[in-house]
Amino acid sequence: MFSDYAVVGITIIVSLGFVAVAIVSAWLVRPKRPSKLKQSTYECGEKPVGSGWVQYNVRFYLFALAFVVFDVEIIFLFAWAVVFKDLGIFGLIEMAVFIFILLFGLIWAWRKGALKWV
Amino acid sequence: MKIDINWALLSPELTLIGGALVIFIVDLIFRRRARYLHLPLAIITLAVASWLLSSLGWNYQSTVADSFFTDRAAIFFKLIVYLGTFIILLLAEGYRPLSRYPLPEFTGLILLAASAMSFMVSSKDLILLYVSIEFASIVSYILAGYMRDNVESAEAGLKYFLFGASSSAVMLMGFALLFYVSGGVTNLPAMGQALVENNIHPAFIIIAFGLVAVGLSYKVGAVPIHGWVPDTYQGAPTPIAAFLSVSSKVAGIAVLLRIIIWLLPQESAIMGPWTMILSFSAMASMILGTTVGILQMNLKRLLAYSAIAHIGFVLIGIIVGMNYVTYTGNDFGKVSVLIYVAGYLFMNLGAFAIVNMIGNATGGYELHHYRGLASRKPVLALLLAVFLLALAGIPPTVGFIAKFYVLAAAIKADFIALAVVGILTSVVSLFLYARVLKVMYMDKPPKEEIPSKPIPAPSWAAVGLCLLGTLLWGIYPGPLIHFAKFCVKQIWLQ
Amino acid sequence: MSYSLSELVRPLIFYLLSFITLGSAIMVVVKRNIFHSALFLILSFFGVAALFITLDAEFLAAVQVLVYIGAIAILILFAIMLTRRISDPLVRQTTRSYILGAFVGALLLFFLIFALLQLSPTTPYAPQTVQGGDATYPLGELLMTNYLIPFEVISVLLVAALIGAIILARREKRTGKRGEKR
Repeated sequence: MFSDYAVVGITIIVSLGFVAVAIVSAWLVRPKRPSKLKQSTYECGEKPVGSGWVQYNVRFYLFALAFVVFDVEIIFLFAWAVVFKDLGIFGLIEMAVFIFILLFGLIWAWRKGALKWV
Repeated sequence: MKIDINWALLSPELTLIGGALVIFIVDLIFRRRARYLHLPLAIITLAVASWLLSSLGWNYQSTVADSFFTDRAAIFFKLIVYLGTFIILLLAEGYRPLSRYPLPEFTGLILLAASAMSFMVSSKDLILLYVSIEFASIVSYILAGYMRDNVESAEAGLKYFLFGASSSAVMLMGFALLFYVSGGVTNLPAMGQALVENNIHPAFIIIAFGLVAVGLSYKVGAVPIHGWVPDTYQGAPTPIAAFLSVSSKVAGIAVLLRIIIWLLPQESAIMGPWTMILSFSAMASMILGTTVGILQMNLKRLLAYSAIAHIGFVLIGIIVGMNYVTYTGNDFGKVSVLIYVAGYLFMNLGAFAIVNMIGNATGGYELHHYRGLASRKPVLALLLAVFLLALAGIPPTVGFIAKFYVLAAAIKADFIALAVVGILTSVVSLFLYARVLKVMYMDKPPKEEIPSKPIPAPSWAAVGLCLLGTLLWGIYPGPLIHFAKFCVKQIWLQ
Repeated sequence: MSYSLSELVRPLIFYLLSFITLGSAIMVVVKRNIFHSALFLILSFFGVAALFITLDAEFLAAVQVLVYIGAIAILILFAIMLTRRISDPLVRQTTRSYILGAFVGALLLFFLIFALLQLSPTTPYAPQTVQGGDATYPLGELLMTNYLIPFEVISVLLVAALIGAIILARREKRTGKRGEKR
């Protein structure tokens, strides 16, 4: 098992190294003459005005929130799916209850307008 | 594979959850037409749950691989939680600051919190215990911060959440350590037995239990994790502050009692230090609650510090109870905890109810709003006087009976220092409550007329119930004491 | 002296992963820019997932990446982006009582280490983990049988949290003219 993950580890190291080598070698080689114009933020040719930080709309947050809840549901589904075959009807009912309660949650969020994008 | 489920045991909790879901669904389908349905639905749910609970039988039963159980003390604690929830629902009806916020969800969430607390009291398994503690806490955070446009409410919810999340993390660390050394057992009594069998060094158990105690201390609001109590009680909607001060605390007390009895081995190397630590916590709670409470100007904050002091008293009972686990003869410790918890429900909810009513009518919770209340609203002033005197422990109220029993248990078990601190702080607390009485009865009312809106009827019902409990059990405590003794006569270690 | 490769490599990997996890956790607390803190938090979650793998808990490692990094860290980032100012030099990064906090933290660490030192290093307290094969099956089985009640309670907890959070977080419904919505 360890040897499987050794491959993963080597992949990570190699990819990090690839990126590191590319950036570092470029930094070593290029001339360093910074100017005010060159350091300013690139905005497709326009002159940048104000700070780059904009306060986002709350709808992004609501979607991420709903996603967390259903992501947790998904992991329970994974755990259940592994044993599903040996559980029979009982297992089906257990998970059906779980899913229906969360389905109710989804319908509630939907009807209360938390999922409206516009 | 199949597992045996005794549905009857689970029926009260399932009813509460089902009732909450029904309230949500009714609100979704009928919207504004069913505005007034959520309170009756909630009360019916609570009534059915209480009926199912009382029909469970007084013997110990457990289900689902011994993770959920019921016994006499569990039924007692759960009845207290349900009764508290009922009174809170009455108080929340017509609470003006909440009218801008969705009320059916509020009621549904209160029912879900009650079901979570119910699970807490009945859980024998570490995983179920932790999940239900978190469930109760999360719903409580939401309820405390429900009036989100109100800065104080948002602060209350946030502070409660920050304290709760960090205490819960520390508690989980303690549980993880105990889980590890007990050989991977999650059933709590079995974990306790394994701790003895595996010959774990006492220092380890003391420290691991200390981490667990941090989390439980947060739930009941005792020193040292009491910091959230004043700000949360002050900022949260008043019915929720009352809810936290009773139902949540009672569930926490039930869990604390069980955890101590199941997990702490009876050897003096562990019981000795832990008795000392809990004694410090109890004494510090009583002293801090009464002394700092005297300085408070806001009624809700005053009641919060009073709650901290009272939990110190309950801890005395728990300390006596834990040292005499198999002493079934005169187990005053546990009996006193049950009596105190029952009495505290009525006294504290009564005081909160009056504060709620006055706040609802006049919009003020500061002491200067109460000036000359006796001449303006004599009935409310008298009722508040009764409840505050009960909290101070004056006969013939149930407060006196409760304190008497706790102190008697402490003296009988030779915890003289605790008893002395208890008596002294009771005297000091009299001064704390008398301050409010003085302002109500002896100060002149303000020149301008404070506009006062009518008080909704359910609040009066709630107050009536609390008054009945406070005075009836104070004058004729026999049935309550008998019931408490009955509930304690059971095997605690299984 | 013949150590097998895995005996040498295992502690090394553990120290490396611990360094990554703890180091990024420290950076979470130290960094002035909250956004950078959140990114370091993601890195520490990755470290924890890798530590789970070394403990043969592959399901948990996958869950850690899916839920903690995939959902919770994203939620944290969105919440951060909802704030108005991100690295105001006037905003205090540490609480005024940080000395007391550090003291309590050190005390906690001392007690934990002291407690762990009381255990005997050779007694296998916890039962053996699943040899070879995959731990997901026993986990699923336990979840559906012994821990059925917590499992169903979790579903209600999730719905309660969803409802509560949406009530706390949603926008006010502006009642303007029909069709006009801000």
